[in-house]
Amino acid sequence: MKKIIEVKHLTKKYRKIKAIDNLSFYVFENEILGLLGPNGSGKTTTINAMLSLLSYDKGNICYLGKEITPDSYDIKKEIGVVFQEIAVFDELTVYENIDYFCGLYIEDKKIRKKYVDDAIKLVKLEQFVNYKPKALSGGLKRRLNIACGIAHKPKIIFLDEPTVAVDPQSRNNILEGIKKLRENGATIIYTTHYMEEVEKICDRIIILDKGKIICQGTKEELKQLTGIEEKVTIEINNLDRNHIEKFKKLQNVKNVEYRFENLEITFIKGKNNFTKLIDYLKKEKISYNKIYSEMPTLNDVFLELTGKDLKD
Amino acid sequence: MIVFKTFFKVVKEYKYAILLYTLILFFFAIFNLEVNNNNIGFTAEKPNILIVNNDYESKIIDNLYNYLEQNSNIKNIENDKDKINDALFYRDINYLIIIPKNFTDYILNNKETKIYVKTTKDANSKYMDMLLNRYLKLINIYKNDYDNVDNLISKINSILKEESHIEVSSNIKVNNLLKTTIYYNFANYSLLASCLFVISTVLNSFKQEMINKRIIVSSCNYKKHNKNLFLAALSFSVIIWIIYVFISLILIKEAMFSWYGLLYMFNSFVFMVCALALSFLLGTIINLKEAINGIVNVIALGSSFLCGAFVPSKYLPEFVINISKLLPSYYFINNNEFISQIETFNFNSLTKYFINIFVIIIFIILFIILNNLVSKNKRKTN
Ligand SMILES: Nc1ncnc2c1ncn2[C@@H]1O[C@H](COP(=O)(O)OP(=O)(O)OP(=O)(O)O)[C@@H](O)[C@H]1O
Ligand SMILES: [Mg+2]
Repeated sequence: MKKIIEVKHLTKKYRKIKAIDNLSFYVFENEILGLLGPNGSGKTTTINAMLSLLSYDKGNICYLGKEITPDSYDIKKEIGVVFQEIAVFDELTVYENIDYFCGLYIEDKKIRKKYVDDAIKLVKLEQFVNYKPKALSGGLKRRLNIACGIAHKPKIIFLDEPTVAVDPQSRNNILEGIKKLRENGATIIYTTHYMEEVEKICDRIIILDKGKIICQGTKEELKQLTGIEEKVTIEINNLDRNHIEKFKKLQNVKNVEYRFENLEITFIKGKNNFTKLIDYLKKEKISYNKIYSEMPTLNDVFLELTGKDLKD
Repeated sequence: MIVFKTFFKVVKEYKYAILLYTLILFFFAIFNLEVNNNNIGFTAEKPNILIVNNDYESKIIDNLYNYLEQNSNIKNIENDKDKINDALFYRDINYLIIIPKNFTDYILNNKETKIYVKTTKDANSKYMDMLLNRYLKLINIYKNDYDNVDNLISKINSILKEESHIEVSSNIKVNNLLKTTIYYNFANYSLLASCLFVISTVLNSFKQEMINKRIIVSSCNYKKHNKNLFLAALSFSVIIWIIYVFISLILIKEAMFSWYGLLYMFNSFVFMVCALALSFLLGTIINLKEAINGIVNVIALGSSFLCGAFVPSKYLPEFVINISKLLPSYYFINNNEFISQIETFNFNSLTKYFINIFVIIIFIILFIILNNLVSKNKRKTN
């Protein structure tokens, strides 16, 4: 795979606080790279540095081997950015907004008109082209914000938490749109603190915490890091304390917890963990309401590596 | 090009504000025209004057009486200071002439002497100024050519007769110039209010932190972008200026289609550039869009009051005039007043005009420097 962006030893300090600390990673052509991390972990700072919007203290950032500077207009031409905050003109309509931001890249009127129409179609704002942003709901505004950033058909797209404060339907629309952009050949860097989104659309994931990369790889690679193969939840009323200790001694069991009438058992790799568990429940005559098995989530990965929940 | 176009698309959102300021100016001008037209009618009825003669009744003075009598009503009021002042105050007389002792002897023998006048400072009194000055000027020009006073007087009278038709038209001219000055003084308000409000507001939109970030990360050269923004703002203010000049061309044709008109136009053009520079400064300083309207009104109304755009500055107290000298509007308005008093056009008579223009240009440079300092500072803190 072709490396499109190389980030090496990137460090940025605000006064004495290191907002990002010695980050090194690649972005490969045509992938969706997820930057996942809780609030304040340095996602926006990383993106701003990669866009040369921000000066940094150490490290370098290269696009196809060329270092980016504020005057690298040839590199910037290939980049599209959707910022975390909504950035549109209140005085202009949806169409005029997209046209203006696209016009910063594309001078030819005919081409631009087509591009703007394509962007409107992509984010499904056809019915609202003549609306002013004030008349749009939060989710529609987000979609406009995205259209403004990608209308010029860039090869590399940065999306900084584009789904914050958006209803599920709009969110799905946005995620669909992003997948479509990748199908059309774009490389995407996507930041979020929603792990479900990352699991849904990202090929590769970098997890950040406190400005540091705590791990990176594909979903599967990251999940292996936890050593967890499977997580089984059983709804049992009034389970005896003694039983919990017995569950812990079963083969391949890593951890057992009993909370709110739910017994959670995590297994390390092994054969037929789930069937063996059901056999055991039968044998011990423990009655239960529900039982289900899940793969570990990225939250489990984060929990394993930092000792805290991603959601907090 | 897209920047230029978008600038005007955003401007379009503020079309009602622009319309409002223009209409205010337009109706003010029409109203003023009416009032001043009445003044012209009054002149046709001849102004009332009083002559207090402290010299003996010489032929020169007699002749002055006769000359002025053709163009005014000479009133007979007791020579008492209070009564004369009352008469001036109630406009029973428009013009008081006090001829000093030995005036005749002194003027014929090239000694310093001066006729004192007190006036109501309206169009009528300006007209009288003109008549009196012309008479005295002619004496001074011809007195050495004639030994005989009678000959001198008949020479002067023949010239005055020739010029009398010019006087009538020149009286109308004085009236029109006064009107033009009042119009352009008031334009101080409209020009400031519309340029400052619209340009600062639109620039504020472009300079919003997030939109600005979008512009910076784009492949569009940031400096070029800002240059286009400036060109768009310049075009906007030139359009506003043209509209205001156009209104004056229609309403006060006689004065505007002359050298005087050119001076008024150039003066207001330089002032418009000053308003543009100030708009950029405000657009950079003010972060909150909602605050712009208030601040602009304070500046436009405040400077208009202080500098005499609404009330002629001669009615303002001394300390207000001193404060107003710190504002560019003072020099713009001062120049409008000055233009109406110009009699001949040459470099010397226009010196004051160019000094005022020069001061306004200094203000422009000052605003540009301040704007650069503030925006540099802002970029650093980001
Ligand atoms: N301009 C700034 N001045 C000082 N500190 C800053 C500045 N911008 C960010 N920081 C700090 O840098 C750290 C990383 O912030 P950043 O915005 O990159 O986080 P993030 O991952 O994008 O968070 P979020 O999910 O809230 O957007 C935070 O601790 C933040 O307080
Ligand atoms: Mg962020």
